[in-house]
Amino acid sequence: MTDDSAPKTMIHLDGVGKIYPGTDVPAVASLTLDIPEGEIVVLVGPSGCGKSTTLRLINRMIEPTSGRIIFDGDDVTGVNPDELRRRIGYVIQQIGLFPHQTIASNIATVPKLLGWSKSDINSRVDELLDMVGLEPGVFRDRYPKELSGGQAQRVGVARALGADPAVLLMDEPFGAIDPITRERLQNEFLRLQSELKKTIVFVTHDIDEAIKMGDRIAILGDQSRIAQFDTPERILAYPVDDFVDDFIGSGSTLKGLNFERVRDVDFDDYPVVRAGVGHTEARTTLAESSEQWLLVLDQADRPVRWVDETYLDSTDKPLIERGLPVKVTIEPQATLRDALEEMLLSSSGHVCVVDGKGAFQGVVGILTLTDVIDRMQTEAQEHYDQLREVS
Amino acid sequence: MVTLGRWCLRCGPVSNDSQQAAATPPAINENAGTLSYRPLIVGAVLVVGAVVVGFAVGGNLGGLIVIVTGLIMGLTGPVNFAEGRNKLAMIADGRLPAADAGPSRMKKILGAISTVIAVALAIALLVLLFTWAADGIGNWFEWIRAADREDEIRTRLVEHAQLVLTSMFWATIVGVGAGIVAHRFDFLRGPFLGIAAFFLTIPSFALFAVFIPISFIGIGDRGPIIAMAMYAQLPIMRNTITGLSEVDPSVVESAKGMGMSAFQRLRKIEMPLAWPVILTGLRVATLLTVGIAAIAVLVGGGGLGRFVQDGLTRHGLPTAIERTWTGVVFILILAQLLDLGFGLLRRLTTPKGLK
Repeated sequence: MTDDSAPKTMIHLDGVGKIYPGTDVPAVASLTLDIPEGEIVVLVGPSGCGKSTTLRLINRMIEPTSGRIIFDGDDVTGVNPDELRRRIGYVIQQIGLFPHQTIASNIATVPKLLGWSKSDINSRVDELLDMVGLEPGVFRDRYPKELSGGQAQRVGVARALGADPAVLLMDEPFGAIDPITRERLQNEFLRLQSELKKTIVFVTHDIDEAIKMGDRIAILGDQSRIAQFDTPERILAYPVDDFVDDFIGSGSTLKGLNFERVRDVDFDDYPVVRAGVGHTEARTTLAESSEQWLLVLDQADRPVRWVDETYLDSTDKPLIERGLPVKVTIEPQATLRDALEEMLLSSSGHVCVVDGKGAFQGVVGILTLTDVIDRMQTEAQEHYDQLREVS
Repeated sequence: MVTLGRWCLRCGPVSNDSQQAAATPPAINENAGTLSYRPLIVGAVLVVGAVVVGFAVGGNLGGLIVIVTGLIMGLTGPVNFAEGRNKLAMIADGRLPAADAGPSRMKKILGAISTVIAVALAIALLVLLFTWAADGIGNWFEWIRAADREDEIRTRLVEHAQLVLTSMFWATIVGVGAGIVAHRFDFLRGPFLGIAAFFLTIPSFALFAVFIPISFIGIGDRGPIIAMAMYAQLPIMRNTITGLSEVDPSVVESAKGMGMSAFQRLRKIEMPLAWPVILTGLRVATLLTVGIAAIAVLVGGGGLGRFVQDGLTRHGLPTAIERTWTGVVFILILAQLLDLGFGLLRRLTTPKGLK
């Protein structure tokens, strides 16, 4: 992996493979992969590609038959697997809470194994319950069967974070949850991760979840062969082969626009006038530009009207009463996907960008978006061309 | 649930019903371990009332039935009642979906009544049989209440219980241990269960006697203890294996994933979760051996079997039927007490989250 800001590698898989006894075909062929510290790496691929197996090779729930696992600089291929697992959080789709233990006791599992003091454990449990948004006073002494699916999954995450491991392995953690709750849990988890900065390996079969959750995505083919390993932006902009292209499916350009923000693009040179000016001046401004529409700002610099030639006559009615209203504006931190959405609703086919106070910043049009898409694809292509030259 | 129907299980391997009943134990809230006092008082009144009425009637057939019925209702009623009430409370709290609640209270009451009637009828039949065989047992109550006889009954009862419990102690260690091993090493499952099933097919009299020539066993209680422990293997081992294999695999997987060693998983996760099923196996095995223990007397052991044997050797003489009857009745009572004990044990030892 060559990257601009090469972060430290937390987990290094070096030719790790698994061949089950009695078979010739490996479940996981030799896999080499670097998981950077503090990032979410998503393993995604079709069913049966071995992505779960790969995940379970990392904490040696499945013992690899070849290769080495380097964890935080140490070769852990031969260490006591139980001790290794206590350093790695593990969340599975079925959650697997212990039904005979309270929520507090479930969350305390690893701290107890590590021999923490009772008071440390208690305060850690409350901290974690708070962190995942469950009121400790209410949930501490409940039993798993008294939780909803979403609550149980939060407890599952809290339990995996029990002893504050640097690494978290998550095997389709939100797979068995209804779409609305899943969306909420994903967002909460991303917010949590922005504070915790854990190194996370995340398995899913859902490319949209992968794009949403991943800092990097490894698209896996048969026997966990890496088809492409990159940031979601680059994968969407430049799928390396047909397999990846098929897998990410249609609409990848649209999805790619989610990764670019309005503040990062150059605004169009757009004709603008103040509400107070006369029609003649407005007409001149419009004529000097190549645009069809003129944007009218009020005294506080807020965009208020779209005006075109037909509204500019000799009546000299105030411009603020002419033309069509500016119905939608967006702020600079919005994504280009949002911008596109608003453009489709806008009278002029353009969308106004405003700051927090509503003051005009610039205008974005459809051509800006095509430029950005072009640039993303070219950059990704160049990136891969460079890689090819190097190798 | 404390039922009397367990007696029926003594003649064969563990039925599926009992295993499933234990695998999905009824849901009860946190107060479940403690029986509420009101039904207990009602139960106690029933017991005392039945005994008083029974003796007042004069120790004949009617009195006996009244006593036994009162005992059953008084002892099992509070348990069932408390269970039903706690469940209703949980449904009201919204902590238990109504669909999970199991049979309604009405069905429970009907079930309890029909159990009581069935057992009472069975006892009545037995009594009729004895009455027919011995031209009446009207004097039986007086016979067992003779001063020295009360002592003897007490001694024999304690001997019988000791025999059963000692045997069960060893049977549990061996059976649960073998069950755990067979669960872990799949290929041992067939052989272990096969051997346990084979034990059950050996005629009990023969098995009791087989140990006599062995010098450190000889005659006395040791042979029967070993034999009974052998009979107990199938239900214990089978329920241990079933209980362990019914533990949700994702629970074991997550325990492993968090770094619990195999032993920690067994001790903290698998055994507690399998425990209700294992306990059912122990219960069935115990009731199985209570009956078989009567044979111990034939190889020089103690227990209530002695009354039965006394009765048989005095066949045709006075008090022969009274003696046999004494042995049988107190074995039944002991079985009922042990069953009740298991019911309470289950209630007290089942982890709260599973109830």
